[in-house]
Amino acid sequence: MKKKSLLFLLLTVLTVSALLFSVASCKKSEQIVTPAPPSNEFLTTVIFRCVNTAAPYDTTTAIWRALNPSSSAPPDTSKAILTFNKNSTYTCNVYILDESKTALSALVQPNFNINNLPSTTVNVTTEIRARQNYHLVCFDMSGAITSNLTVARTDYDTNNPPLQVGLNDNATVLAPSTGRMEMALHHQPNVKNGSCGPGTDDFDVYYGVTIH
Amino acid sequence: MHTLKTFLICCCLFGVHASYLHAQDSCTLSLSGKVVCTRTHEILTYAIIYIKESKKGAATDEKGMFLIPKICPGKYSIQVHQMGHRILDTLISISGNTHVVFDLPPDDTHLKEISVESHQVKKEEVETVHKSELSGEQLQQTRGENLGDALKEIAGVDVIQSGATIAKPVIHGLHSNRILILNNGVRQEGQQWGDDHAPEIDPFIATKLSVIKGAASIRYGSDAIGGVVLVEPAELPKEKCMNGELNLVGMDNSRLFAGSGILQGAFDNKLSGLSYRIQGTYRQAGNIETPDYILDNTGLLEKNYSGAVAYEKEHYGLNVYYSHFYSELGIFTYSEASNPAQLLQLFQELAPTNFPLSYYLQKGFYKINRGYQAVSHNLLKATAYVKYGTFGKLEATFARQTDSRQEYDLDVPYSINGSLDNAPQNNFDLTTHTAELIWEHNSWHHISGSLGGSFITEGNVYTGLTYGALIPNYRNYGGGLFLIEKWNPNDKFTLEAGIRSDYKWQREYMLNPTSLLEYTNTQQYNATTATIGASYRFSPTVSLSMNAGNGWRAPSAFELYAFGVHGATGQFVVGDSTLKLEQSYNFCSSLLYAGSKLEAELGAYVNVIDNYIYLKPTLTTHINIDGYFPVFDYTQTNALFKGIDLDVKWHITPQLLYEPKATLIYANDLTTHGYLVLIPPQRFQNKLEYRWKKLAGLRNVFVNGGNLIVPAQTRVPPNSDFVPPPKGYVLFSASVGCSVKVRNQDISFSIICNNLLNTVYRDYMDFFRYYADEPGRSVQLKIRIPFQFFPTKTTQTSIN
Repeated sequence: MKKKSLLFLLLTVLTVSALLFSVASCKKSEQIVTPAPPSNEFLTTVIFRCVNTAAPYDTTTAIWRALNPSSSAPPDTSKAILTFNKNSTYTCNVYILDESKTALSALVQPNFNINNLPSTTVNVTTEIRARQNYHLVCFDMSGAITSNLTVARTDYDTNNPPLQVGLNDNATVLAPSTGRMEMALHHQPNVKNGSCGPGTDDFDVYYGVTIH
Repeated sequence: MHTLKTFLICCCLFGVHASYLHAQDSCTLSLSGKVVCTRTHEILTYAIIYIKESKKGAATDEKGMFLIPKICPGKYSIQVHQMGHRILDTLISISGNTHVVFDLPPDDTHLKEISVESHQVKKEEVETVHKSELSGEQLQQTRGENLGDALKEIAGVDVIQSGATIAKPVIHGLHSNRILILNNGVRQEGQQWGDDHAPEIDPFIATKLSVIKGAASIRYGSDAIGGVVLVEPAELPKEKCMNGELNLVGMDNSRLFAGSGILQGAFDNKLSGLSYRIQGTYRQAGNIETPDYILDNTGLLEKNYSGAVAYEKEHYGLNVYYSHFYSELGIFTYSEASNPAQLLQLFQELAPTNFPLSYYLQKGFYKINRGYQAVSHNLLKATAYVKYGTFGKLEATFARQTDSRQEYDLDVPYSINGSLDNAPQNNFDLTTHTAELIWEHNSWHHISGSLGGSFITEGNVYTGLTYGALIPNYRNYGGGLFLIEKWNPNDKFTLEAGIRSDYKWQREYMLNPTSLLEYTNTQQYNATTATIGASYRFSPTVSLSMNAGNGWRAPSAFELYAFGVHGATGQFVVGDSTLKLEQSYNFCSSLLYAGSKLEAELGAYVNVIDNYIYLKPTLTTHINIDGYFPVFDYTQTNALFKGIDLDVKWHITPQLLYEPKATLIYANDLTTHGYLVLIPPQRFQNKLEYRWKKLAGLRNVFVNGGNLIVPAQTRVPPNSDFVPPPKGYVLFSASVGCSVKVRNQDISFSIICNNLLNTVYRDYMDFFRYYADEPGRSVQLKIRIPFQFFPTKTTQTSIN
């Protein structure tokens, strides 16, 4: 009989200590919310900047921007507009930035210069250039500009044979018209073949286009 | 006196007042069943069933059936004899009217062996809810498959998949957080909220997989509104021995191979009562082949082990169990579309991007590249119990689980210094502690039952590279008290009823994305659950069970706070922090016929779920840097699930068996009078099997062929999907098997061919239906090798 009581006692002690252990062992690590590490880069801003080859003062810079990817607010497309002059040729560059760490006042300006970024803005274009062998920028026109605006990629990667990348482009502009240009960065590990079909999108943004 | 004292302590522990129950045995229970030959599955007439303790016995009739009435509750040694067969010694604990099937191996070896098989007849806490099992040879046929796929053999169970390697069980149309998986008696806590988060369980640990097809909240609290999956290892050996088994599986499609071993034993003399088991599994597969192409990066790797030690005496016992599960699952490279426009484009393509076999042979067939999940799960469980004749059994269980899930996207994150090159995009860590104390009291005025309390606390930590956390960090505490009682006035009738009260508290810790300041939200839930059920046996062959009960589920942190794109479906999912708890009202009945030639189980159910949480299309669009996405909000409605499960075994001749099964589900949204998304289509299975006792020197030879018929799911709501559900399909399968006696051990072999005709098909319940076909033909070889070190002659214990 003594044995039984001892055992029961043991059992009770075990249960209680288990419960205590379970409560005590909670390290409360859930109470510290860890944001994403600062070295991780988000794509927040996609810029398409073109310079008239015949008149370098004729520039157009379209900025598509979603600063807070976890906000339900729509992206800021107020500056996502390209304005070209008819019958011209432009040299264009694609810039991808991470402005999620940038103080609001220092956001990139329409008179944008890639060499003059706020110190907290990250130029993700460099990373994409480093991974150019499986990236491809694609353009798609809709509206009346379809027959009046052609964007051709001018840069090549180091695949064998080399394939186009599209971070550097030439835009050929014809008659006055308006429309919309879709610009997408395709992510194509193992399957880059020069076409826009394979892979997923790192970004897929739209710019309004006016040709004067 | 001591018994009284222990009982009173127990009552105090639960904080309830109970008058002293006079322990009086009620010897009105019955043991009934059937005796069949292990090998031929023929019924055995005039076999003797003898209960040693009560010196009672019975013989089987011309249908192989027997009935022993007027048995007191307790654990009995039972012996079964029949001429030309080995004697079967087994232990059975009887707490209610018990129906068993004894398998007698034929004594054609003329060796004077006694076969001791441990038939575990566990006490069911709620026995009027329909339950189906997979064990023995049926389970053997599923070896090497994941848990979800193995359970598909049971009528009423479907799977929801993300490709062929990630499968989650669906019971009566409900899955994920709406069903519960009990891993060796402990509720499995992983990241169940994710549709592509497969259960972190090695099916090789189980000798029995059971599914409770109905609400079981009365026993398990929150979440068990759809049903429960029980993964049960065999009981540890009781008598001195050392034995085990080795299972080997190989498959041509994906070049899968799996090996799993068990070694177990028990001691005698001074160490009498001490037993142990160790188990380990290695499973690896490469890329899956559909009839027309190979799916890139669909390999898997699994490394699991477990161990158990028990010390059990007549009146007390202690059992400690530890298991470790680790898996790496490759995610099909082209299973992601950045936006719905791309998804539609992928769907219209005949085949996803793919490479020839030579590409993989060169690069390593089993290599898992980026775009994978790595999951590890650890479980430590300790159980202690005391039991006395008049008092019953008091059992305490404590368990600690850690679940760690890393999700690596296809590409390494963009980073200046390369410090994140090997980092996962998502990292989930969940730590769960559970404790349970249950008193199973002995029969008193024909009433038996249990009184228990359970406690759970979980801490979830998310770290990742996404801008906003995919699910927030949280801590929760939950507790419940329950009482379930059963009344067996005679050996035909059982009435049971139960009541339970639960409380749950949860607090989420989150960051404001703009100010980066931390804030918290707290929810509290109360729920009361009740169940009532009855079963009646009209004759030794026919019985009917009915049960009505309710269940509940608290919304998951994902349903409360989701905000982002669901990669596989292209939906932009938005959670709702004001969601209320789901309440279910479940009615089920099952009719059982267990004749000598025909065995049939017909189950029917109606499940009404108030505040059913689902994703509702808002018909608005969210624009982000990846493109345009349709927005789906988590919202609540009232839902109705009803259906029928049919499972028949018809022994047309002693050699020929026909086994049809049907699973029918009808689900409706009671508010909109429309349909619900992701409800499994109807499913029909047929199998015809022929067996030989002996054929060309081989034993227990069988050959079978079957098919699976799945019509298209037409009951889908509008605007909920980008593409219509896939067409219906019919798949054929065939298998052969036999066993060979080597050193007194039956080594069994089987060859199984699935999707025999290499049919091209897609399945509505697979998220990869947008991107690729289901796997093509596969041929599997399965070998089971039991072994025994000692005792070598007198007794043989087999794991079954």
